[in-house]
Amino acid sequence: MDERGESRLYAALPTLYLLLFFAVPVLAVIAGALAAGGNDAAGLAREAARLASTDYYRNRIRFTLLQATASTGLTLLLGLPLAYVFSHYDFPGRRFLRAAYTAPFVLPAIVVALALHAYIGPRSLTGLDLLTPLGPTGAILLAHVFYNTSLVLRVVGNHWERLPPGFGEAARTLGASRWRALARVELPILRPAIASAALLVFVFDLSSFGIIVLLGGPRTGTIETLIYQELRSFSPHYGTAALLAMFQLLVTYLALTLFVVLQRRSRTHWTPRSRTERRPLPRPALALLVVATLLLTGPPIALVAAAFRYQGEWSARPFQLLASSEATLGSYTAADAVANSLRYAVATLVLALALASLAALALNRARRAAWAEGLLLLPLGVSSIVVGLGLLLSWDGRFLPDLRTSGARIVLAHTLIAFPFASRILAPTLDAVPPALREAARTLGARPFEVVRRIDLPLAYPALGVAAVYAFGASLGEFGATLMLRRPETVTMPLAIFEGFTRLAPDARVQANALAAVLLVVALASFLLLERLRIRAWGEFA
Amino acid sequence: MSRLRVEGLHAAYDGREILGGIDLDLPAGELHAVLGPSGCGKSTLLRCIAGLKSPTSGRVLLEDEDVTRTSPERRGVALLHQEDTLFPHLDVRQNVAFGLRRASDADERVRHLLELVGLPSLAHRRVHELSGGERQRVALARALAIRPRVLLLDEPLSHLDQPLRVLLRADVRRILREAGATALYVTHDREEAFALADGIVLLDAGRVVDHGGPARIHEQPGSAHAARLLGRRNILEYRRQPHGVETPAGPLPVALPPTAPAQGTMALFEEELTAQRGGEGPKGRVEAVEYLGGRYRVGVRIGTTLLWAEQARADVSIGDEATLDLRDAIPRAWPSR
Amino acid sequence: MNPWTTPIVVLLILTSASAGCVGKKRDCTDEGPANLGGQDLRVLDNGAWDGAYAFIKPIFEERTGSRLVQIRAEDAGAALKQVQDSKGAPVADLIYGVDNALFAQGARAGVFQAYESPRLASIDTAVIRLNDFRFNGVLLATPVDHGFVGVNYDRAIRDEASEGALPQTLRDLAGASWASQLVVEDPRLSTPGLGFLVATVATFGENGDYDYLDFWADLLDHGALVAQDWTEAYVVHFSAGYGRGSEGFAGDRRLVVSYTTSPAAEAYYGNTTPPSVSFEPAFGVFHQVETVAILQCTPHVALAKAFVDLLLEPEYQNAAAENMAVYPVTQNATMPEAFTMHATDPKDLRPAPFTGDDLDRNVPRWLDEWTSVYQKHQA
Repeated sequence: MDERGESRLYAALPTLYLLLFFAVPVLAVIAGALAAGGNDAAGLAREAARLASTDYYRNRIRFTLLQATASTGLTLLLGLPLAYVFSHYDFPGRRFLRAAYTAPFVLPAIVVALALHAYIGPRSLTGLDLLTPLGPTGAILLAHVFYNTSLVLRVVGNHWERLPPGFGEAARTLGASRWRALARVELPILRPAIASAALLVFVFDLSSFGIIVLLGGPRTGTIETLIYQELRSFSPHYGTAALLAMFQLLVTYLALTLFVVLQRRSRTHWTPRSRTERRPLPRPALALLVVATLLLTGPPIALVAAAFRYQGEWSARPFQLLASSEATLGSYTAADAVANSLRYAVATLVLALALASLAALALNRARRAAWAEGLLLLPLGVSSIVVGLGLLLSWDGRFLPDLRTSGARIVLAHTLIAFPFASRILAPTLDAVPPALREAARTLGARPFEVVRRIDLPLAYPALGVAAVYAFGASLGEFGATLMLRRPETVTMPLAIFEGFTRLAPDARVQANALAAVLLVVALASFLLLERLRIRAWGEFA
Repeated sequence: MSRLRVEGLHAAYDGREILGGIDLDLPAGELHAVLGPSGCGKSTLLRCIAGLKSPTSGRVLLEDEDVTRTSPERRGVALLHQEDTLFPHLDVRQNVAFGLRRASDADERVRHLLELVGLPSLAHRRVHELSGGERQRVALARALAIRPRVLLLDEPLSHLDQPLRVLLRADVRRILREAGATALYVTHDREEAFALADGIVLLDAGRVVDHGGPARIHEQPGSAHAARLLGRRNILEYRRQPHGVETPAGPLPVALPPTAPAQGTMALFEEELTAQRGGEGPKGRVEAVEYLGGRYRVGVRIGTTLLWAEQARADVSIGDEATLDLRDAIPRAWPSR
Repeated sequence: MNPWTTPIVVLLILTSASAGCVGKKRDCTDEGPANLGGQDLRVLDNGAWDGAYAFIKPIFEERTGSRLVQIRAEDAGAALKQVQDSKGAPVADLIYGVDNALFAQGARAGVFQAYESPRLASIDTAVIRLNDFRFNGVLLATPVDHGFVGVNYDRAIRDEASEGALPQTLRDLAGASWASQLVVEDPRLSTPGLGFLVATVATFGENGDYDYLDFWADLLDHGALVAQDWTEAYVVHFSAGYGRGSEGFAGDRRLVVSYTTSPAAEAYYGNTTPPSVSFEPAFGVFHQVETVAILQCTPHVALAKAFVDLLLEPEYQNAAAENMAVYPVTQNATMPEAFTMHATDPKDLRPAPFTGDDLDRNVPRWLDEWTSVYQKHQA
């Protein structure tokens, strides 16, 4: 079997999966929209025109794009200098600090929102109320920066660390000051890496849901929340929801394809070298670190602390309430939520890893087209609400098996988000394996599957670990699709937290905080595992 | 080890033809070197023989079996890459034993091979702990472990520095001999090719220009093109004259062999010419004197042509008038294309 | 490879298999056990049923020997959505909180199960129109409480302003001075919000110089705040609402769309003068009747019926006011004094005169029209 054939074989299962659990649900939503509009495609087109001309929708779409762009810009503003500091300077606690800054990324949106509230909200522990003056928009931007700085730090930082100092040094010997060398030499070389990090951040911010729902206000609706509202309304318009979703899909696909193209160009055309020389930390860099530490580590700490507050005093009562069967969270106990979350996360991990490995192998064996890679990342950018709704509408026993009462549905939705992520992590590592190694193996008598088993997988092993942890974390924190698919017996931690948070009873809020703290700890623990495995892998997205 | 035959092999990349019809016949147990400039298709040829690339037409035969359509893992052709392809996640022993999946005598075989390549005590070393030379020897052991029918080596020593190359060269020769391997060894280093091989294949632009034993190739290149590939610089058009030849460099008093065509292209070997002050021979001006460490190479412009002489001593300098002594020169002549 | 790898992989696969257990496919004709004990009865509510649930749970459980489980939704919209989406595999056995404005939608979706409780006779039909809850002649939902959606205000306003300066009519509310102090609920998501919208239709009509859409345009232009649901309006934004006094409370809206009985409830709970007041004479009032309905395909039909019966019993009805600040539906039900004192007598209220049929035919259209106005003026 030649490489083409191999590629097709590997691609089979992931393609099937995407067809069944992504394409079909999305099509189901569109079909439902058409049906609701009387099966009138022209009607749908008219509706699209109407949306495009209504100020309200235009403003919301504009806001969606603006907030995503602004968030990305701010994230770069903080992330790039940090990446520079971490790759050029040496100081005690460097490793630890970098790990701490990366932690926010694995926190679910719910937790982030509560953490910000606990840190600088109206009822914050610190006594500082920054959320109110920031307003809903400011709060959203802040939350996004909190979330995504680590992405820039990791992606750009990885490349920067491996940029041979020779470039900058050559510039200096030619008379350029340190700033000039930076601006005219190093940054342009890093441009593809920076751009690809920025695009990924943009895509995440575009489809951000939990943050907007919990921190936003009346005028901060985004496409995602619009869709959700539309579907919840007493008078839902499936057509509108479907159209908005398709628009979002389009924008995301474009951005993602661009991301992939740029990533390829950032692949090392220079030989990466680990930086051995680092300078000691100058004062401005120290100031930056202080700011970053306050912003990026403060909220999670505040959240954990807030979980131990009960009626104005330090107490473990919230956890006691949480653990008791009389939990006021509703028809399920916190233990149910935790158990469900963990079960789904493990299942997602297994399924996502399997699919991601196959997809990465398929991409590796074929001449990789940017369009295919962009397509693979598409589920990341589609409204998770729409995916949830789509799964509801399609796998309900009419044409396809009824999955409505099974947890499998949740796992499938989670995998949809986790598997592109995971393949994004695996693909570069697989690509980094010199093809000559595989060829050598084949001439030594290894059949194609053997090559995968004995060469690809062992060499990709560290990346597998990283991918596993990201998949696990993505499932733990998923909110949007789970919200749409929820049934009492499939409640997860984010859902339980959300419910507790939106309740009247003060005890419910306090328990929500406590559960959020639990989720935070679980997420962090799995993330620390990632850090250990990272030692042997280099770069996650790069 | 098998006899290797290649018949009419054509191969292309992206629509551009790289191999334009290769015919080769390698007797079993012999080591032949493939020599040619970069881009001539040496690596492509090896990849086609190994099965890593499908030819557009032609056949590859091992003994009498047509393996053109056989997948690489079943062909029994081992390929040693230019770059280091030891598996980084396995140690030396595991690398060497890679192709010996279920063999019951795997351990024994590994031990034997490591001894053969001169690294008996390194079985449990990790790959990154080995030096360049050790790496290539382990790679060789690994390739030999599967008892390949043919062994292909793609410039295996080119990454190593010169002294090491020379040392290792002899080792490789010995190892391959002892293993009785049929091997095709690609190199751009002429000296290496001549030192190692039982036969030399000259390759250029996807075609075999010449193929024969080292002595014959060296003494009697099969064509002017071959001569050029071997680095000969004094290649001229000529026409037979009663006492020599007429060339663009003027008349030259050389004795053309009777079997040579009346006109064509000829090569004069540098080492058979001497540039000196005075004496008999065509005169010209010295334009270059290169010291090669114990030998000199002198370029003398005769008429409009620059001719080169290689000699032990040079008592002329740049700008001097010099005479080219052609008395020991035996022109090798071929018909014009 | 690690010796740990194999057991871990096996463990992972087993765990994930357990997560994906496919649920039993239900045969909807199976009504479940005829006895009442040993089951779990699940009630999907509208987010405002906490008090009543806590009240009825011990009674129910003792009575039947089964467990009562509350499944909370954010609001009636979310609840109805869940029910519609899970048709054929319902998430609960009963749904509480579908009111007269929403009933037709649910009925048309075919998610309710017919039931005529023997206790229907105790309902005060002078106040409650049972026909509003019949679909094709069959009763699909049972009214269990009712209330009047209206506008309340913070008592502090009265102290500040002179008597005549308070808004007298709905139209006054749209004025610059009052609209900016008002918080209403989104009629697309919240039943009181929807009720208020219906009331505005009744007051201003759909044609004429100043129709209900003009009213809303003015209201929004002058700064009225639209909250997601009643909880947000009453706890977060209303200055005299439940949120006041808690840390970090920043509610600054002094007018709120709520129930005419809200102040009474405050008086009752706080044992004090209520901080909020209903407008008198009341304007913009909507008579909301809330129901409980058995869901199609529930596996506990007998138990569900028993539950409905229970809600119509005096024990529950007499406590309706305390638990939810609403009126009971049965005749001869009693109410705490605080309610009769502080809540406007229903007889004095003039709610929107729409029948169930009227609402069924028009609510979707009214919502759409409102949405257009909202989008234009919130843009």
